[in-house]
Amino acid sequence: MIMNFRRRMEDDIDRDIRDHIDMETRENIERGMAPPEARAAALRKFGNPLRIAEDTRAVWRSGWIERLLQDVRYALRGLRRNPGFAVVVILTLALGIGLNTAVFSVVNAVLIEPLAYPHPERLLWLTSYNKAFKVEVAYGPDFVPWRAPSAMRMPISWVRCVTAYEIAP
Amino acid sequence: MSTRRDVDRIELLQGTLDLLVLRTLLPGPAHGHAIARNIERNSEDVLQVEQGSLYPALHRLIKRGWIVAEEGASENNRRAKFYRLTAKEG
Repeated sequence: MIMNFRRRMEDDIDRDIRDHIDMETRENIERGMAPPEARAAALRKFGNPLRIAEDTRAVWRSGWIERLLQDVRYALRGLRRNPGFAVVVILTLALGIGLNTAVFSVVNAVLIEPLAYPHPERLLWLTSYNKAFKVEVAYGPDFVPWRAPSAMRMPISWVRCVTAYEIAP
Repeated sequence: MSTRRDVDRIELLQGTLDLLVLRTLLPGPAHGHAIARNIERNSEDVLQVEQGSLYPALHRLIKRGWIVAEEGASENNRRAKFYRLTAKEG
């Protein structure tokens, strides 16, 4: 509805301008000018009809979407004029986005989402710490006391790998 | 590139023209050519540049809902578009 009204207003502009110049021309003729001269004078007084029609349409098109599209078109033209720059920009963005996606999918799987094991809330990280080398490491013999039923508040049910294991309920 | 100052000046000029249009329409509806003639007669320099600058002003006022456009017949019985103030105030 509003779009239709806007479209009609824009379509009418050329006709309205033509009517205006015709009216001024007729008045000039009534004042005694020759018809071609009268028309030239009317046009001179009116200004450039094309530019004025464009300015009038711009009144209806000054929404933020139009301005945004204008900016986008301008950016695309700029990129087309500088293909080398465009390639560098596109590669940089692609690399950045790709890296971000890769790192986030790891962070998401490891830190945010629950681990893909039954009862992930009962998984613990258990390890020995070697002060000399400043590294977390668990040697084979460490597991013997850890697996003894009395060592933990709850008995260990199984050892998954070197440092992580689940305790039974 | 227009500076902030230029923008202010253009807006002031546009505002003045808009007000002149509204004042011209106060006695009753008029078509574009009559409005232009009237403003030319009553203002020194605003519309001296070109009559055409009236049309963006008219459409600004229509967009704001302050005036409406209607089809009608001019004094010598030709089809013309008449502009009329709307009843709503402010």
